[in-house]
Amino acid sequence: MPGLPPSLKKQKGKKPSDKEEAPPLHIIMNLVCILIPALLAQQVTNFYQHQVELPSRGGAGGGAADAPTNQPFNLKLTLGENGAFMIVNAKTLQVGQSGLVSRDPGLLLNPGADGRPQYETLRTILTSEWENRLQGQPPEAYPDPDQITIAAPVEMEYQSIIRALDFVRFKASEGKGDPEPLFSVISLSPGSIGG
Amino acid sequence: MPLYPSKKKNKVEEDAELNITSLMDAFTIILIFLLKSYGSSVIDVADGYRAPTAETRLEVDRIIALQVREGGRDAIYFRIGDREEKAERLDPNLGYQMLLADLKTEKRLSDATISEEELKGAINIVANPNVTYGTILKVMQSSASAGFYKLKLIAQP
Repeated sequence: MPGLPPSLKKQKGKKPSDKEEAPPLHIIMNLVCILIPALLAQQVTNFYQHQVELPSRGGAGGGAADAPTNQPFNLKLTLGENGAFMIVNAKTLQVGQSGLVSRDPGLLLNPGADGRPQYETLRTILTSEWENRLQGQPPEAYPDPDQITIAAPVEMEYQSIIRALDFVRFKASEGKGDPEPLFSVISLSPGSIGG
Repeated sequence: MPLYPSKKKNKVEEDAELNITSLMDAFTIILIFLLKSYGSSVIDVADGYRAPTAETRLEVDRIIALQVREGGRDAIYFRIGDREEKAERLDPNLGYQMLLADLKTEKRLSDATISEEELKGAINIVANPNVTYGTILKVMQSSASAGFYKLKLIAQP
């Protein structure tokens, strides 16, 4: 048929059973192979834990005959609503050290200039207290070298408590391996600064 | 009219080819099921519950989980393990009584199933970040009263 354009000529000659060109499925399969681990990694959430205790009630009792004779640390940290930290029963920390100020009943670390809690400074201070308090003796020579009691106002958000626990539990990491534990036995109790 | 048996034979051969498109559809469905089941992780945090963020990287033990979220002034929603969610208002004198009763029941079951001595009396507490510290303390006191003394506060990175 000379009157028809070439494209129609071609179509006319095409059989209905002719297969269309297959899509490049191997490319899609490769993409799926990458997507599967990526999606799985997103779905699996890793969780971590902070083990805590409630303050024990009653007296300490007689104790074993070979119990440590050194005075207990009896350290207490109170979190303030404004981001301040009160450290009670610290024996080796000085007023002025890392911005510590004296305030009944202990030493107060005020928030930074930006109004945020100084978590890193808190950790440095507590590590210093812990190391100086031991006076070169092994931790076993003290009854509670790994213990601290944390108090906070009851209206404080739980997230703030967890944030503080992060900086109390471990010493500052020097980038090599896991950080060393500082206070691994943490008791939570209600309270407020000055209260 | 002449017959063409060769064409019929070709058609049968074409049908015998593997249909990759259908196979991929099946894979997609399987993938969704895998994601749903594998995504449960160590702790299956239910909808509406969210752990706070933390930098500590201490691994979580596979034990019973108590999930808590705020339900208004002095009220909480809680969920123990995969049981149904319950709501309770704080009794100023008695604390969370329903929570305590449920935890006591769970403690008996937990003692019967957990063989590791270290994990006996341990509980994972998943509380929303905006829950108040006072509420957390009450929940912890209820847990301790029920026999769960090893309190593990769960956080996520």
